[in-house]
Amino acid sequence: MLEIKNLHAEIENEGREILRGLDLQVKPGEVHAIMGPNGAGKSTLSHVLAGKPGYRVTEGAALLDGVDILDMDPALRAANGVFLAFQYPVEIPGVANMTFLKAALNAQRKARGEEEISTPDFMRLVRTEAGKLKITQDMLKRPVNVGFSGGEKKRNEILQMAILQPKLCILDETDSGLDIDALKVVSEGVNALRAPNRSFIVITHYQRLLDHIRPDVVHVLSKGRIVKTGGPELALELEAKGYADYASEEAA
Amino acid sequence: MNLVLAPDRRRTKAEEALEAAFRRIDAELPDLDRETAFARFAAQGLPHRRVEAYHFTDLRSMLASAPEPAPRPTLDAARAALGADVFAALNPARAVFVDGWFVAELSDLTGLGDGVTVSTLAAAMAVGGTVAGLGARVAPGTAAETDPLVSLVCAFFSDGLALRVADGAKMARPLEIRHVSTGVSASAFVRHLVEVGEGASASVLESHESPEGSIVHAHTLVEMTVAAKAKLTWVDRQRESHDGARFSTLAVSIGDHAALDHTVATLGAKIARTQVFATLGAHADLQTRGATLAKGRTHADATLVVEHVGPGATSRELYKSAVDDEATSVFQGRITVQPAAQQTDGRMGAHAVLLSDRAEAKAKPELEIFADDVACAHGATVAEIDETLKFYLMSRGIPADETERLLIHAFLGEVTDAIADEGVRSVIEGEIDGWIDGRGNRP
Repeated sequence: MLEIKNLHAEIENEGREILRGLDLQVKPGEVHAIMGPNGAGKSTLSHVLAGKPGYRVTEGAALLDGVDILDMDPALRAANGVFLAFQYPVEIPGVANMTFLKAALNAQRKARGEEEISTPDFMRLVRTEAGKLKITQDMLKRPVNVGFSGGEKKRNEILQMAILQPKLCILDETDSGLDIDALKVVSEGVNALRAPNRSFIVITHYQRLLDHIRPDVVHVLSKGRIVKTGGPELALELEAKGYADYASEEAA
Repeated sequence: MNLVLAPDRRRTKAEEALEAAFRRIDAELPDLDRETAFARFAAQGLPHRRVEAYHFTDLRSMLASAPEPAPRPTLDAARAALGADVFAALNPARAVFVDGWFVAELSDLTGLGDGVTVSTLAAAMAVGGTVAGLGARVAPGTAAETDPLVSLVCAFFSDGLALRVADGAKMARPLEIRHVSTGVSASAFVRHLVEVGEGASASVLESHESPEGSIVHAHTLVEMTVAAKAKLTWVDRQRESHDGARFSTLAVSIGDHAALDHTVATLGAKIARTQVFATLGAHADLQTRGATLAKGRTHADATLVVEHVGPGATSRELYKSAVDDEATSVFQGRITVQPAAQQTDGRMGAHAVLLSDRAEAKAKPELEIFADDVACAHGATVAEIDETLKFYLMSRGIPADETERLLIHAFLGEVTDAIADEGVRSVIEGEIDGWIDGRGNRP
């Protein structure tokens, strides 16, 4: 599914290297958790994979089903199946959530040479998925994320994921700012999307999220590289001992 | 009559052309009011950057010429000039002006309801009538009266409507005033007089267009009086040739407890200036909003002068512009609160989004408050398309150009969403979307 080889990336304006030779392999259907101290490069990894402006990849590759995505613009990456659930979802005044979802779905379908979805089919799809995530009609009509609570914004991210059906889902600290109930709803949404042909990279500081979304593999990221890989037990170990062994000197 | 000009200055080509044109008109049809208006214009000439109200729109240097006032077109030419009507779906009554002249054969003024009368200035003057006799006039001693563009229309107007809605009357359907051009290089001057009686209500759709490539200088002055407790909705859609000029002035007096809801969309012209001069009585309500879309090397100016005279009145001004290529947008807005206008509630916002590195937006909001118990605020912003929003949309698969389209539409949505009438809103949104889609086609 995803193969990251010797990835080096820096912040464009500062030239400061954040990712320093990162290697990672994610097989279809797997859930990988990436944990690590502040400044290890966790969010940078998610941004570089999604194509956020402001970073420069200086070396390495990220192959999605054998194709390097790093030269693609963010829209093309999305059409190829990459999805980033934002740590801080953006508010877009003036663009209704519904309009946005439909534009995104149809743009991806068009890029893949598929037909546009019919309005009744789209409405049915949105209603079903929104219902599962306790997203109200009102939230669908309102501008994207405007006036949404922290939990509502995260649920809206998962709704987009459910509708766009990506191959590779990257969750960037999806648990931040969520209370226990919201965490459950979001986790259930993610778990419902687990499938043999869909992989997840779950970035988090805390073991708590991994009680709800059970990872197959846990990695520790420190100073821009994967320094340790293990099973779910590694997350419990980190929870007990902290990141002292992997402390990072620089902030990302 | 003689042109009075400051002795130390040479007249520009445009000023000379205007003077010659006025001499011809005045010789044919001497009129004291026109002479007074032209003298007022000629004393200052075309306004330039040292005239504060025209600091950002220096007409002396921008107007290379002033085309001849257009003669009355033949009916065939007028008919040929008439393209599709953007407001057709609203089924309005229709007054058609071609090159500044009313064309009865292309107009339909039926079904406006009892108490609504429409006549034309040219018809009234042909039988010896005067503009003053027809009703509304620019109030003496106001900023509108001394404005050079106002003076030019008062000096040169060929025709215009006199619309009168009697006290308590309700207009049964909207009235569209269409201004089109046969495409010859010419100036057109139109002056409309509008009187909405006490407790009456009216809705007017103004539309301006000229064929691409034509050098049309189109001037319009609308003088309106909205009497006590009356309601007037006014929509102005401007889509002139990118080689032409559009000068629109609205001079309005809003009576006690009366309301004016005004929308203007500017989507063309090499030089455009829309002016609103409004005076508000006690508990009056003014809502004015504008969407300006400028591309190529064009210049679009919206200038508001809002005067709160009576107490307890409300005014809301929201103007937004999307500026592409090497275009410039200008917003000037002044809210004045007179000493008697306690409990004034005024809010003015001007926001521009720059779509290219060489686009420019200038904003000058001003508050002048002489009363002590008022709530007034203004805000102005100039920004580029937000990269964070763009990335968010693109990360969901929406391509870069479609992303910009959505974000420009959303930016101007704050203006269009405030249009209460759904039919009007969808026409204006359609015009804006058409402009956004055509962004790649450089004028």
